Amino acid sequence: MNSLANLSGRIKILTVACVMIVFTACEKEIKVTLPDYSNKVVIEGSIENGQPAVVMVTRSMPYFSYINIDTLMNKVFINNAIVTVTSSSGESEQLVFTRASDISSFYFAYVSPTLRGEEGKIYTLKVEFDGQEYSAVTSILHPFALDSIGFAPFKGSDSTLSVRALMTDNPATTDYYRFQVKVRGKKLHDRFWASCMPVAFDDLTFSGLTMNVEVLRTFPLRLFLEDMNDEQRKEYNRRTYRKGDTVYVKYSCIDYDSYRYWITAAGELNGGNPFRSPAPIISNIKGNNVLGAWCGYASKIDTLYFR
Amino acid sequence: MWEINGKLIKAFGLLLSVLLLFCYNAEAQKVTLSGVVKDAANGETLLGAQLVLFDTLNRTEQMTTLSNQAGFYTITVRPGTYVAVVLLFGYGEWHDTLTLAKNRTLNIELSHASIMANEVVVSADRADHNVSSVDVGKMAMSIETIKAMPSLMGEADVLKSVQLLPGVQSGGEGNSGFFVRGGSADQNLIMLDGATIYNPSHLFGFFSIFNANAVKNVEITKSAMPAYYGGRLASILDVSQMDGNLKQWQADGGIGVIFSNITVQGPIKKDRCSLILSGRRTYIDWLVQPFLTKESPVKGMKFYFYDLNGKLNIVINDKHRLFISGYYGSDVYGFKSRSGGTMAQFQWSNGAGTLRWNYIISPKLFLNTVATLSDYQFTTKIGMSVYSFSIKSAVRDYGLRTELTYIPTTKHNLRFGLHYVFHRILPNNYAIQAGENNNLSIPQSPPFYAHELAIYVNDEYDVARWLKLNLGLRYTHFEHVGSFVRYILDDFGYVADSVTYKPGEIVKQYNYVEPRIAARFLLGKTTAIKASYTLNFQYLHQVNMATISLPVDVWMPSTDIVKPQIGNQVSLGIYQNFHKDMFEAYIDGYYKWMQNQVEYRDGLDFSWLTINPDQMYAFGKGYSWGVEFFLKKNTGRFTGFIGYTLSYTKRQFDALNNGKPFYAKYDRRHDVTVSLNYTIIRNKLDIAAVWVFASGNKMTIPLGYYFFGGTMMTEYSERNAYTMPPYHRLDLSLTWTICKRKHFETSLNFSVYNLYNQKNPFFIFYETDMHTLTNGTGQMTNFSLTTKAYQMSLFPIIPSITWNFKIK
Repeated sequence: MNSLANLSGRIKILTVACVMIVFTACEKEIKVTLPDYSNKVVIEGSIENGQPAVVMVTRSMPYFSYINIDTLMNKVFINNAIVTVTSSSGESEQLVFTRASDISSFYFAYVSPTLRGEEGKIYTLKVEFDGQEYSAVTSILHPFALDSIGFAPFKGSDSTLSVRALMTDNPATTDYYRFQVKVRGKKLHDRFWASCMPVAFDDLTFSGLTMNVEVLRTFPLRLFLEDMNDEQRKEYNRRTYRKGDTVYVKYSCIDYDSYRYWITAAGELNGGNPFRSPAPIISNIKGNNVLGAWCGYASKIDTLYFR
Repeated sequence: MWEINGKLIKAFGLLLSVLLLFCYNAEAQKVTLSGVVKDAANGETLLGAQLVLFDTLNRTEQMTTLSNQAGFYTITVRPGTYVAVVLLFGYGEWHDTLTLAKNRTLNIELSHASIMANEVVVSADRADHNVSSVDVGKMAMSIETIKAMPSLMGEADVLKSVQLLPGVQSGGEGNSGFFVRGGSADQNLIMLDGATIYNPSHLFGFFSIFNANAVKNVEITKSAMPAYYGGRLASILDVSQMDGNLKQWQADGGIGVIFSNITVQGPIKKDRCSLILSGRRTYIDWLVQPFLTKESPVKGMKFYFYDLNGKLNIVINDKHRLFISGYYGSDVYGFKSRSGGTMAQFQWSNGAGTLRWNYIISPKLFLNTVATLSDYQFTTKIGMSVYSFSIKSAVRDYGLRTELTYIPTTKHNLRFGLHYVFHRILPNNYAIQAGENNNLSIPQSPPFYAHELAIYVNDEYDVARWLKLNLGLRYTHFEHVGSFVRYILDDFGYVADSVTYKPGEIVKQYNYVEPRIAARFLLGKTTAIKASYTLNFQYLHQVNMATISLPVDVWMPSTDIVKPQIGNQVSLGIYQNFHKDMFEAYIDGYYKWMQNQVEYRDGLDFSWLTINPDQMYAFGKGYSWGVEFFLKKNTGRFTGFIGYTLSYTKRQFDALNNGKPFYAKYDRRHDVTVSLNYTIIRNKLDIAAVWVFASGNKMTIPLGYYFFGGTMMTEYSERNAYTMPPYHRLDLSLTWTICKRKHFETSLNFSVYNLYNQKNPFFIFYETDMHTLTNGTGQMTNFSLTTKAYQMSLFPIIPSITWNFKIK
């Protein structure tokens, strides 16, 4: 199971924690001189059944560089790229740069005005910018149904609950799954879907069998969050659900390239840890000096009310 | 390549018989003097004592021999009258005039230098071991030297002391792994009384498992490995336990900050049978618990480690001797959150058992037979919410080694031997529970079984006064056998098919011949040039997953996928003694090239639970070269050494770093050690200081960041492209012998670790400071992001005090 990726990170942290408790450790700021860095183009794109294509195009920055709102808007976000999506049935559309306030993305994204994702189709993305061309292909497979989903007790807590989903795998195919969750709320970040742990998983450990997936609450963003006090942070970081919550669970089938991107990126998405040896993230985008992924989702959404 | 066929086996046999014949043409009219060299105080046999015979008629030049690990020596000369001198560092000179008309057995007892009336008399006209010997890369450290060195928390540490020698690099604080001449940590064979120790660390590497109070000798071989050693590419660390006092009962002990230890030894029957038992344990957990509040996160934490050593030594008669020795040590660390939701436990143990039989067949023939058992186990348990997860890793070895030493004349020292080991290696066994109603089917991960066999012949051949050779040939055979299931993977890395092997069925075989050659050319009496070439094969591998060495790094045998590691080394050095051997020095350069080195593949996903563990590895080449400088002062009130190593270590793996060569993590440009001892008041007050400097380890660093998936992601540099800041530290220790009487001795040791409180890098981490302001509609009005690098240091200045006692 992919949750091991996270666990092995924890082993190392706990190991060191054990040692640290006994010995007095000490830290100080140091200067690390980095070699020259050339910025790369970052593409984060997705298309889902019944939903428009959403593509963010940004620039990567040198690791120790300071950015403010001006650099963010003018240097990080790229607003003059030509972004096109073409489907296997021949539909093609140029995406429109949108200041997003109603879509599950950051402040700016390229969105398809009329094109919507359809099951069983292949979608090709093309991004032209600064004389360079980047392309990627993904597919929307077929959504799957859960056997059941509902609230379940959470060990170590009496008042809050976790969500358990029961799913049966199709033994005839190798399948790749993603679960995402969000809890209804008024804040900006409540609009975003959060990846469950593991970020993505395959069916190798339960091929043809029934599997119990624990869908714990996770926080969708580590970026662009307003400063929080301890109480707010605790609330934001809570993992279980409590009375009054409306919980949306999105479960998707994804293709192998998307899966491979998510699992190789998982270490980074979880915030990483100082002992992890960084491994390359395998992108499905072709082109020079480019990072990111273009992923198709075949999804269903269930809504649960904790009354 | 040295892959063997029938012809090579025949050639090997032929060479053996030629060597035998060659040695056998000794003249008839010769006599042999042989015996065992022992410590007069406790009857412990002594290794490396040098016996020199001077012909009173001056018909021949002086002749020299050394005692072996059982203290046995033999020398064959023309009948006549000789002045015999026995020398061993730390002991007084023994001398006698012997008339040798026929074969004679003479057991020699040496007394400690300090209780002799005179200073150590260094005989004139003898070349010191540093210059005369042909064992190029071998260095020994006496346990007294180790105990006199300053140490962390006052606990004398065999492994940390060995790491001060040139060419031996420490892995840094919190890492008991050491790196010899650019070899990885798994390329060192660590033996306790001949049994392999697979994980010599306590407390994640802050201490080693060797209890200095139970150890007699420490020897490390880092180049020109003789044929009687093998199985690893970089080095052999041979640690012998004490045999136990044959003369009288005694108890030694120490009470320190971290450990306390006690050793009891004595004769069950005087001069015939002795027993030694030694133990030590940490007790910080007991000391701390009463002072903790109920809310403390440390409350209920398990935190201890211990060692037990024992040896029974039976002198059956002058010819037969039997030793039964054992070691067991374990570490336990556990943590449980107060709610019970999260728990973690680490536990590992090493066990080693040895049965040794020494048999002096004739004055020229010595037989050493050892049966060994090694056992290493590591268990990790992690629990979070409904999930619980455990990894178990283990190695079990059953070994038998028998070796015949034949010393026909003073010109040859022949060793023939056979070494067989049966390995049972469990790289990792996972168990996962994810609450009720779950059908997680994690495949079984059964152990790997393998046979390892070596047959060798080694000759130390004194060709002429100016030339001495060490010639060796080692034939090794390795067999990975069933039961075993090999998965066959498709292009995506998923299991498509499998092949099942029955118990005992051969999965893969390897046969190799390893030539070893070393030569010493004497230039005058105090200068020598030494050169060597060796080829080694290594059938067991340890692959490191974390950036700091943790015991989770599992062992893995060679299989059809994991080929044996191949190591070639050439070395060339000049060795010089000064001032009547008061100083010894050498400069030694080396170049190593290695194949079939193992690392984890990049970007592993956890589908690897369903495949064979060796399918997760990448294979490549390694290169290292360097030069070592060493200067040592042996005698006087002021002793010590200075070592400097300049080295480069690179690796190249097709599957890593886009196939481009990269520096190994432990690539270390400069390594300096200064170790000094000074006797302020003889038998009363001694002071010792150690200063170390090492270039920083290599690491991969972040180059850039970008936004993806609602988070800040990092883009990394090429593998190990950054050098961490250098490491340096000064330690000091003062030993005050309070009283030294016939039946009672007591001393206090004050140690200061990291005297000038240098903040050395343990690891580097980064922290990002991000602030966002928005208006009520979710519009961002202000934003800032900046990242800084921090260095974590482990040990500040640590003073400690240990009280030691001895009752006889």
